[in-house]
Amino acid sequence: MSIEKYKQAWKKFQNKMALLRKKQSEILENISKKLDQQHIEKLRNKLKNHE
Amino acid sequence: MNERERIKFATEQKPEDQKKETPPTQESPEVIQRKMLDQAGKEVDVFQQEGQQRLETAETRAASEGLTIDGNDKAELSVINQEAENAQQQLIVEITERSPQTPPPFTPEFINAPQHIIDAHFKKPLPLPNEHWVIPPPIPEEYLNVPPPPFLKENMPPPFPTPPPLPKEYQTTTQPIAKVEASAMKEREVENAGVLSTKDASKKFLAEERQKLAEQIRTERKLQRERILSLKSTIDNAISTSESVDGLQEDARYGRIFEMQSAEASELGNRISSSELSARDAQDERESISNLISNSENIKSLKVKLEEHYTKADALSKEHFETTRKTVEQTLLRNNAFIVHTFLTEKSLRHNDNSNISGRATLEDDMDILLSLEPSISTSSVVPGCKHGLWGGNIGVVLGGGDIMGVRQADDGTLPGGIKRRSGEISSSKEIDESVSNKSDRAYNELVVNNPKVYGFFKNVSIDASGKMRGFSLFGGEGEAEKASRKAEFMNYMNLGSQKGMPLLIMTPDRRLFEFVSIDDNGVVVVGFEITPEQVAKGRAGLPEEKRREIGEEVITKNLFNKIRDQKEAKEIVAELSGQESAGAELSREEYAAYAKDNPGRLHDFPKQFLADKTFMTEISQFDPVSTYHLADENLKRDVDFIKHIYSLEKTFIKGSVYASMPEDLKKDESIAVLAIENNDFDSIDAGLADSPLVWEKLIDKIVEKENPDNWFSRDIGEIQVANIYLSMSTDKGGIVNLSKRLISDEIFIGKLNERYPKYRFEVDKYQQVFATKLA
Repeated sequence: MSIEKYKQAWKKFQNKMALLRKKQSEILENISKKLDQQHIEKLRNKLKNHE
Repeated sequence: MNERERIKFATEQKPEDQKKETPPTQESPEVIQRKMLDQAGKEVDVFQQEGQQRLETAETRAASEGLTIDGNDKAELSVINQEAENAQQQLIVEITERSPQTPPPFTPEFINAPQHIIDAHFKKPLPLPNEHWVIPPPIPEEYLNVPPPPFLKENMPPPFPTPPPLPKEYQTTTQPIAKVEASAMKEREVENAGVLSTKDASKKFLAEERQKLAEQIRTERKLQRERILSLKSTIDNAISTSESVDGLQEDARYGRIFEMQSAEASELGNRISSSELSARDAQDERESISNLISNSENIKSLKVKLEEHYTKADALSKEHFETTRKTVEQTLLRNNAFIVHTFLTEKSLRHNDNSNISGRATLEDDMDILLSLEPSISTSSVVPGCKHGLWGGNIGVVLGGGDIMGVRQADDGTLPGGIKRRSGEISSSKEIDESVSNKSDRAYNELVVNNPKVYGFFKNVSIDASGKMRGFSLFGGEGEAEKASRKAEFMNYMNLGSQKGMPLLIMTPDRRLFEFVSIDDNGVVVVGFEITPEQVAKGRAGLPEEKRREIGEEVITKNLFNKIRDQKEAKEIVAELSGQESAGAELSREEYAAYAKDNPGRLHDFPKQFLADKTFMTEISQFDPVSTYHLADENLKRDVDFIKHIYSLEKTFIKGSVYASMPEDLKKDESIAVLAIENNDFDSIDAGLADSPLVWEKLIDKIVEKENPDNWFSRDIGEIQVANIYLSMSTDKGGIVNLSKRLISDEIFIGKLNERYPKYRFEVDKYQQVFATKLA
């Protein structure tokens, strides 16, 4: 197999991993955001109950 | 240039550059290929582990704040983990030109064995010629039929047609090789998962109740026999004395009653067999059973009891059947799968906040805990020949026994709730089968297994381009020293597994298991027979009780659990293994003290009497003074001698303030506040004491001491710098009052600064800022 083919396969793998890292990061950020929202919601409810 | 850059460099060179560049261009395509595969494997591992770590952090937060993580997000993470593995597989396929459907070219029992042995044994047809095939030149006549030189003789196969002798480890026998026979695990008999008959279930699960019922029936029968005799004698008497109007008619009537009730009594008698009775009683019963009669309520009530007994036995039988089906061994047999528990080899990742084990625990400690205490653990199932993900590390244990609590197709985010308990899904055997038998490409699933019994220890290997199993890669250096170091690392894991009495196994990327035989200096692994799920399910598993107790006792002395209640549970488990009552396994005072020493500050679950015991708390305060004070009993917190002792310990301020955790009323005590200030614990002095001249003076003195300009001036004479003076005090409700302005405008404070540091001049400007000027 030529170096060129290795290069293409490696590039493809790297692109895929970069895409997956981005996706992973987005999902984890999303999880974090959702937790923040839940937390805020909880605080709001607490305040409401105290009013 | 790191390895990743080297690969990038090697693969991105222009063809015309390739001849000029060194060293990457000097590497053969095979080397580059291998490096690419190794690097890809590492990238995928790091990707998955990082994702897992971040998810666990979020889970910890969610658990502590009572929040929930969206299951879809977790599922998506699992999917992308799988996608990463797929990308790796795709890369392998592309650069090795291997067909994705074709399994790696190795033969199970003979992987890495010399080719002539494999060919001779299997009489495999030669591969068909293709474009890579190089036809060797014909062997010259003079080289044929020449006797081999003496040093080769021993290794030469005998001439055709006798098959070549196989190396011992490759002998094809139906018995496992010595390495598996050397298992220190316990022999066992695997129970058949069948529904027991009502009678057997009654005997097995309700033996005591059954015995009681049998006793009651026997007593009732005796009573009936006496009644019969008495009745018969009355009838006989009536007939003989002709007291009855129609004696014969009466006799016939009683006869019918005898018959009916005798039948009923016999039916009851048959249900509880005479095996429960003594031989004499049984004989007695058999002789008189046909004569039994009764119209009493006792027999009716016994009959109801008996029906209830058998209904209960039936229910227990079904429950037992389901429990048996949910055992690891039965699950392996039904689904032809393995259930494995992996260990992370990276020390910093092995025990995170979700773990109930201390970060001090070594890999060996983890193994000891698993083998001795058989704690509730998180596992994954894999089917041999499938692309199934596993969590984390590349070493682990294969389970041969245990009770499966439940399963989730993805990570279940389970947490320990002690040693023998773990959170997570509870599933039926049907649900477990659905997940475990799933052969499609997937990331790891999660099964919680209680009372796990280890079958063997495995190490993952990779398969190189030529189809050989590799225990370590040559990526990053092929020097003898580097190879020796990697081989030693590989063997360290194997030796550890072996020391613990576990048979050593090798797991291929497609999740097949083989007996480990050896590894050569280049990382090529030689294996023995393939191990099937059936062998694992029926083979030796779990250490014998005596060995478990021995290891367990050692585990206890290390105080490796994050909570003292788990430490106590460990002691209870070990006590049970010694045949003692687990409830009596209390920790001694010395054990509590030793735990406090090994786990500074972890006193949360300590019994109240210890937290109130001044001598004990004083003794252990040396390990973490501030935490000891925080967790001390309320009365002890008021003990001035104890407070003074805490302040006298040099590490006092590493982890926070003593004053902050004092009872509120104590904080308002002027002398206590002064004591805290004198010990540099003045960040949260009660604001109510701001007007106390004594407290204010002590605060000024301490801040003057703290604001030494020598620590922040280092430049030329004449230089002016702003001194950031800050003072705050606390209110009852946890608020903070900023008293910096009051301090700055206090002339005594500025005067003391100038007096204490004569090489500087301190002044306050119109904006209430303190300037310090370095003097000559």
